[in-house]
Amino acid sequence: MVTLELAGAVKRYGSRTALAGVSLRLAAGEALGLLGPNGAGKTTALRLLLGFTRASDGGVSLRGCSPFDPAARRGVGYLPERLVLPERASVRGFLRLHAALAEIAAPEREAEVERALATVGLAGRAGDRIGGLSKGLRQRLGFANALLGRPELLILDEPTSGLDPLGVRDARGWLQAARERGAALLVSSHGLSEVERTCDRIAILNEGRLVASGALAELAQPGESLEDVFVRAVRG
Amino acid sequence: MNGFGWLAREAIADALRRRIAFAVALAALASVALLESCTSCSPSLTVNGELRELTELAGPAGLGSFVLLGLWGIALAGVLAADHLQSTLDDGSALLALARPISRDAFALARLAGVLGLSLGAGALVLGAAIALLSARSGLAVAPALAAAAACALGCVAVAALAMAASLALPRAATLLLVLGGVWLTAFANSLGSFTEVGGWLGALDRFGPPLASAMALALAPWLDGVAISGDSVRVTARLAAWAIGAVLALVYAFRRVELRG
Repeated sequence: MVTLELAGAVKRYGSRTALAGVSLRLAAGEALGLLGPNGAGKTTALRLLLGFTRASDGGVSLRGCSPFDPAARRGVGYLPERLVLPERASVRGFLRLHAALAEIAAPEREAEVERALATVGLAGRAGDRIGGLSKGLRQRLGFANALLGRPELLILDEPTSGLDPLGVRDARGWLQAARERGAALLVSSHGLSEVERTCDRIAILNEGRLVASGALAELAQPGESLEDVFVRAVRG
Repeated sequence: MNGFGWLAREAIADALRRRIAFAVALAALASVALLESCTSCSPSLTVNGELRELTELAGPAGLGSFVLLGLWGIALAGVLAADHLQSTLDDGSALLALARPISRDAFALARLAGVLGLSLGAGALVLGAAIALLSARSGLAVAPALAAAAACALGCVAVAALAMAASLALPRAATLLLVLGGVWLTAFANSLGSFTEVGGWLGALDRFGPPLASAMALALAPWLDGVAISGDSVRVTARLAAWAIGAVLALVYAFRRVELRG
């Protein structure tokens, strides 16, 4: 089953073309790493998939529906690149709100919030105001939010941004655990090693076009690392 | 409670956390204190050399005070709405909620509910105190005041929704100018139109625009003894209700078309 798909998706902002006919598919249980230099169109692709913006041309579907249908976002966890959290809310209060928005049934909500807090190591800070958290702890909270309700699909934009090496290692574990229970992952990142360790397929965007796509073993020539593949795909 | 309920609760909490909420509370208390002082002054005064009992002037004075307080509440709703939705787009905080199975309509309406929660709450406090004081001290009937308060609430919905929709396309300062200028210009046109035939664009604003002041004034007309206000209260209130519904629909339509960047 395809969980998300871009079919020749085009996105123009005025005269600038952010995506020029990109096609991508992600099947259930797969993990796809979206790579590309700054301004390649990675975040635009994620915005299209989440219904934040409308494609100028081409098709976009999320869990078989239009991304503008709220039902399409049921069972989707999202971590944005620029994570903005309510400064005055408590860590637990924020997750309670999002557990409700994620349609987690009321009797299970508290347990799910506590589970997410424990997973990301924030159980001891649950009563703190978000404004008092460091950047790394905020990113952990963003992960807790994305992991609420054990989503079938995780869409993560620069997920390890702001995390220290221990946090990066922990994040890898959370994503691995999500994969083991069958979740699909779409990870947009500049961290080539993270993508290499977490994802089984890679798509490389450059100037709004898909310039390479497939498993690393298919894309790499003998002796090439992911970095070599990336540089070759982007610089030609 | 469903997703809309949670978002509306959050939007009300956001509105209460804003610095302007403190100013609103102070202004509301000051208005009540002013009313208390105005309704407890001496029982007679001299008008054009003639000694008049204050009770004779209670109707016009009460109507004027009530409409001014109502307009203050309506302008407040517009000012609060000028960035209550747009700020969540500017800072990207809307994205986390809209990545959930929440429709854009529900999100926009919840933010509107947040504005209305604060402005209608402040309005209920001020207008409730006004009704109690004017009724107890000046003997004015309560029913017209309740009808005027309902008209004020409709005006709050119309102006807040229009301000929110405008804020999606205009900078905050321009939205604020539009709100404040629009409310007071409409009130001016309504005031002129209540007593005389007005032509030109002011007349058009009075006849077709949201009757923010005239709906309240017509509801309070029973307080006036021998002074006629032109217009049919039911028709004018229906026009205001149509503006409120249209404004909410315009907000929903505008928000559906917004590109979320964050």
